[in-house]
Amino acid sequence: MLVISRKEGESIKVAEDIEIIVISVDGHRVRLGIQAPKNIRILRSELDPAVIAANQTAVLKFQTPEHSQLLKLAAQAKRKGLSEQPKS
Amino acid sequence: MSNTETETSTNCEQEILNKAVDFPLGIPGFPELKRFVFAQHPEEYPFAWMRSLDNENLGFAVIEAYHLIPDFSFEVADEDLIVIGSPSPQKCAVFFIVQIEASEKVKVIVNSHAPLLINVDARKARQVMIPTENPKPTTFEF
Repeated sequence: MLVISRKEGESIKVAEDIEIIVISVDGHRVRLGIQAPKNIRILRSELDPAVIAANQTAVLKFQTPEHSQLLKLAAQAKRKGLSEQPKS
Repeated sequence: MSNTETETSTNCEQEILNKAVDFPLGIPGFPELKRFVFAQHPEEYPFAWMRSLDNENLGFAVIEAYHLIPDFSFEVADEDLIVIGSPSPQKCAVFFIVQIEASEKVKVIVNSHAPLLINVDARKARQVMIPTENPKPTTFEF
């Protein structure tokens, strides 16, 4: 791993077409600007663990009989559509 | 009754039912699960099962995205398209993995920042990640 110190306003280049600029540093928070081609996907690293955790919660084990009724129940409820407002 | 229900499902949805779909990279948290079959009993519409063919005891409840979020849209990364064989947009289906909690009300919990993108022709799929500031699940109550 390469470790580089940068100050506000300075940047680093990755390959030919990616530039990461340190916009500001405020205590423990760093704001970065990333210039990269559109086909380069940039994600916050914590998104991956969030998706892994969500999948591990959502996985169903088919040995348990109650799951056979689960989709039917959900489908009935959705058709009634009492409230379709997303709640976060 | 079941006919009326299935008529409202989309062509893409119908095309992948009961066929094996490859996830070349597995899915996050389950890299070893690379093949799934989508199955739907008419009474379960619009929900469906995505059952693993690598471990037949495991699976997920899924729903085509627009059934929950009618105007759902996102920018597909080239990298994701390549994994599923670069289909044309009309040959892509988008599903969500859902977590269902049934008590007095039914709660459907969805991670809309991690949809399943499926090439319905080649039957190749990937759970993609959409950059977001808020990677929290959305709960629908019915």
